[in-house]
Amino acid sequence: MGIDQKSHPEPILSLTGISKQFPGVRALDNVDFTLLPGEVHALMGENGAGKSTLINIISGLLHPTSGKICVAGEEVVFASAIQAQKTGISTITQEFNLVPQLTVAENIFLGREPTVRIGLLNWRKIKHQASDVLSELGLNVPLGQRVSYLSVGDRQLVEIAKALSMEFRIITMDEPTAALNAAEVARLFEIIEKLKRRGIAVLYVSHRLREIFRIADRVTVLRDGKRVSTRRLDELAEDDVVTMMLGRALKKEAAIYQKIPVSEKAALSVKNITVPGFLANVSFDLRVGEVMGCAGLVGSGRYELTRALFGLLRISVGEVEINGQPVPLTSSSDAIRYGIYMLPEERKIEGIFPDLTVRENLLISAKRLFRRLSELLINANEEEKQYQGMRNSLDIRASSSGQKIIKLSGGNQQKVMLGRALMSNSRILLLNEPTRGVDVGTRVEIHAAIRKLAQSGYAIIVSSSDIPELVSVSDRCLVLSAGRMKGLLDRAQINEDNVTALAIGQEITGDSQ
Amino acid sequence: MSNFPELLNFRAIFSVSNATRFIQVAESLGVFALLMIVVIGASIIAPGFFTYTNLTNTLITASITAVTGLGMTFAIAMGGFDLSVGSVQVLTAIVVASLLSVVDPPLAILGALLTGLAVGLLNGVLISKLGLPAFVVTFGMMSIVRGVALLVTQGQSVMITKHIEFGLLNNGKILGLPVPFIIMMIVFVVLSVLLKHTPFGRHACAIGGNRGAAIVSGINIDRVTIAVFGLVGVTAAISGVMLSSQLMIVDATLGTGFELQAITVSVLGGTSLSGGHGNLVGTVFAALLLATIASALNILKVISFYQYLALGMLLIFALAIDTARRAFIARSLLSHA
Amino acid sequence: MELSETANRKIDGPSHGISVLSFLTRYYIQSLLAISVVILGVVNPYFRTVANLENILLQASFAGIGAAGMTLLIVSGAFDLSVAGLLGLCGVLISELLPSLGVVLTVVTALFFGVLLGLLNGLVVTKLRIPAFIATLGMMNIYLALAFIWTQGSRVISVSDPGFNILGTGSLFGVLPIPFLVMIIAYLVCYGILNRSVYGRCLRAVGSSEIAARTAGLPVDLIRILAFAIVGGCTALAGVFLSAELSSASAIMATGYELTVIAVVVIGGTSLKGGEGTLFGSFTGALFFAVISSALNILNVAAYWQYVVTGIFLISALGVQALRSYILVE
Repeated sequence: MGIDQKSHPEPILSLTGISKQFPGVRALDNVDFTLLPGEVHALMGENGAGKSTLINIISGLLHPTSGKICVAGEEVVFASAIQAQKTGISTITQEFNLVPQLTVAENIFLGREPTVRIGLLNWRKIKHQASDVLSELGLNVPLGQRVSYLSVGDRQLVEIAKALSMEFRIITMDEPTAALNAAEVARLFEIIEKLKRRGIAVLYVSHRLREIFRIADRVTVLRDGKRVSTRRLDELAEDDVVTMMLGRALKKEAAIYQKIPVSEKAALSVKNITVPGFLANVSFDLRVGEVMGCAGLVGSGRYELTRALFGLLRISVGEVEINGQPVPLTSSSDAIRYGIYMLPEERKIEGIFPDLTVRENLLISAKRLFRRLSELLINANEEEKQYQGMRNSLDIRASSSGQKIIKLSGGNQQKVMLGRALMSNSRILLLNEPTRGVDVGTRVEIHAAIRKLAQSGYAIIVSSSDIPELVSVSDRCLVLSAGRMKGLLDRAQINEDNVTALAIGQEITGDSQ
Repeated sequence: MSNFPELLNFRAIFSVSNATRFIQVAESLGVFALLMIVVIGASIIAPGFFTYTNLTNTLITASITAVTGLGMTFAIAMGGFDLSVGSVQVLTAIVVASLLSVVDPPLAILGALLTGLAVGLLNGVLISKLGLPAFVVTFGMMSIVRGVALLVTQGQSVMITKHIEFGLLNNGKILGLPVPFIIMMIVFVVLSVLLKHTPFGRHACAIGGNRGAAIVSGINIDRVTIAVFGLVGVTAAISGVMLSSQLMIVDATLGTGFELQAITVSVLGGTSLSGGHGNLVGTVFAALLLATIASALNILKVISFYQYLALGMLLIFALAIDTARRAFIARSLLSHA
Repeated sequence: MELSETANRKIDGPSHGISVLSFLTRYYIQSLLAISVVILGVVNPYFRTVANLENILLQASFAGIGAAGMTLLIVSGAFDLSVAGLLGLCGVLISELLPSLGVVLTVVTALFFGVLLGLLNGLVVTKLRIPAFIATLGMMNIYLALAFIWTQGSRVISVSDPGFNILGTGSLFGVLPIPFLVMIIAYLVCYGILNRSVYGRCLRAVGSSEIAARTAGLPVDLIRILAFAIVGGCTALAGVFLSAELSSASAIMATGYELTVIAVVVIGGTSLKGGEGTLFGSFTGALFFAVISSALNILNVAAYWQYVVTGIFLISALGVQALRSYILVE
């Protein structure tokens, strides 16, 4: 698998032998990569393949453990993201670097505003240059419009306009179409064509095969931190790319979607719910004793589904029923009252309490506040016993229950979080990425614990980006793509290929979307 | 590849642009409309309100508050706060009054302005370089500066006996308008230009609106922070000089609650606590509004303490509206996404 | 995900040994108190007298009692700047009720009233979603105004009832003033709440990470409102003793109270970010402030220095806290 030798121009960016080592995991292994001016180069790979790490290294957010980066033939070492910007690399991510209260023109020139002699802003020049750049992009938005009033698609284009006017040579886009509708995607692609004609190189990270084939010239596929291959897209078919991503051919099976007869009483019944902006028309039943997997890539709505069921996101249409009764889920307290508990995906941001101890983090949801007068004070002995019990089941490595949780390793913190969900006395558990950061051996134990819980009468949803995990732990598996249900797989149908195929958006039967 | 076809309808029905534009316009007009209503109401209810003398006094009171309010608006736009402005006002009033016994007015005023600048810069340094939270730093500074004022005066009043022409700063008229009002208009124009037409002002708004974006754009956050707090200090000093000219006799107990007034007129004027934007016009209108209410209540012989009550409630009211507005915008943007 | 691992790697790593510097910064207020007491005791003979020490304990209790509640509130991540007005209003209430209701009933009513005002503060902050600092600043004005109106303008009302005044002037064994004893009890109670009760754990959780608290299903608003109510109650209690000691009450009887109380808490070592707090630190801080106050008095330094000193201490304490967290991270 070699780098395409046919192109003549010098690569605008070349990475040689890039490796990135994190404690316990080698995210990137000796990756070579080149980017040619004026090309759209797609970067693909499964979750954990190393895409994000590579992007972060190119943007200057991470340092490679070894290897060389050259921009326009000169070797560079990025001390920071700002320095990467100075060498002409712009990164456009989901959280835009725009100031919502400032206008389009002001945002484009933020930090480098042209001034007239007495120090005032040179509005004429700003308007001139800004409208030049915007009209080049075909963005039809008034310059004086505040960015906060723009749609997500428009904001993205303002970011691109900013990059353009700063004369960036490389623009990295990470899942740029995740929040766009069809018209906006088309517009984005037109603009990317224009960027190409300007000689700007676009590094396009996405999992959406159809789009990649529409817009990209070459594709690099990563798997397990290694570069699998770099090929021109006009030489490939979709199946070839998927094969490169998974390492083997995808076996297709017919007729995936099947309605499960609702004869048994459902613990949780989701009926045609819509979460504005994220999910549309999702329905399924969760039975007592069952583990339902939930699969879906970035932008599929998988993240939002569990949050909505936990009362953290608004469900605008549809109903959720528990034991046959519709329940209002307007807050997390509501959800808990009805016996639902959620393990959050991002434990650092919304999971752990950094100032509290391991035991406290574990037991924070165990008792509802002021439920019983007898439970006002902490019963240290009882809690210690509960802690020990959980410590044994999950093999939590902590020096004592009184240790501050931030001193634990990531994997152990995750176990504490899982323990918290288990101790919450809720029979319906929504587990997001339950084994994130956990080593292989413990992962197996956690999966076993989840299955045992289900057997003892819990109803569990496991939402995960790790497809093998879903395969090993689920009785049934819900697959989401672009906000919709793409399939509800029966135990027999759950395997990596089927789940991946549905999640990527490829209809197994071969229909176009 | 249409992802959310039914959601497109949502967008057509409820355009974000229109709704939030309406809010923006309503903001600016709202305070003005409120002001007009109160002025008309006051003229009707309070006899003697619409006299030349009373209007002049009201204008003067409003100007003194507005000057610091304008500075505070700038700080809030940057995402910061200054609780020490009341103390700075009284200290600078004392400084100018004391200096007048030894030097000419221009020098005395300069001394006062430099004092205000110094305190402001100190606030800015503590907040930016040491990374200390703005609330508490200016809260502590409020106490320190008040203490200094007390120490300097030893609890006594300072009367301006030499250079009585200093009082013209308050009593004089230019083109029929009271001098304090002219001063306030000058401050307004200068700050408006700074805020909207210089990189400095835009950077300050950027820091308040999206600090991350500001950093990534290469803006020097520390420098802008220090400068903005210095600016607030100067506006507080100008208010102090104006106060001194108005009273001609000052002591260290003045100016309590002034920071509350400054914050109130900023928020009431439409500047959101979340930062990124400063409504200077609104601040001026709000200051006029406050002064009008106070004046009317005075004429009606309503005890001044009811005015305190009104001020507190007005602040809570303004803040609640700010919160509601932000929630409304957030919700409409989400359904638009 | 890999990025956040890297960025937070420092926090995940093993802890470093405690150095002398970190010990000092951890117990600096206790060290400061000890050092200042020793120095002042040596330098000034009057300072050493029992009468003076008793006075220090008495003076410490006014801010100290308020600081107990305020510590809990700050741990939950909020502030209450209205306490000076709240205290004044309670004081005025006491003066009105004392003649007719007698000591016990008056005290109970005053405490109840304080709690009610605290609840009001809490509601304004949580339900109207206004930042606590500003909301309570506005409420302060409202309480002050109400107190002014009630007393028709800062009029000082006498509060003289021997049964009541003894609360402020009496002492055990002639050296431990009653307010000080109550302060000890208040601190023990608050310590129990913060460290031994489920609610206290919820308080710390909310202060540590409000987002995580919501995700974990904690009733964040309720927890916050109760914390404000506790501050209201403590402040009212301080008001009882203050009016008893002064034999009078007025709207402005506690001007600057919020500054002192917050300074006491900050100097005591409780972090303004919330999540953890030290009641022992606030207790020590209150004593420390009283010692400094007394020293300034004895050395005939003008009372005005009080303001300057308090402000400087507040800001320096913040600096020390910043230093401490810097050391811990490295």
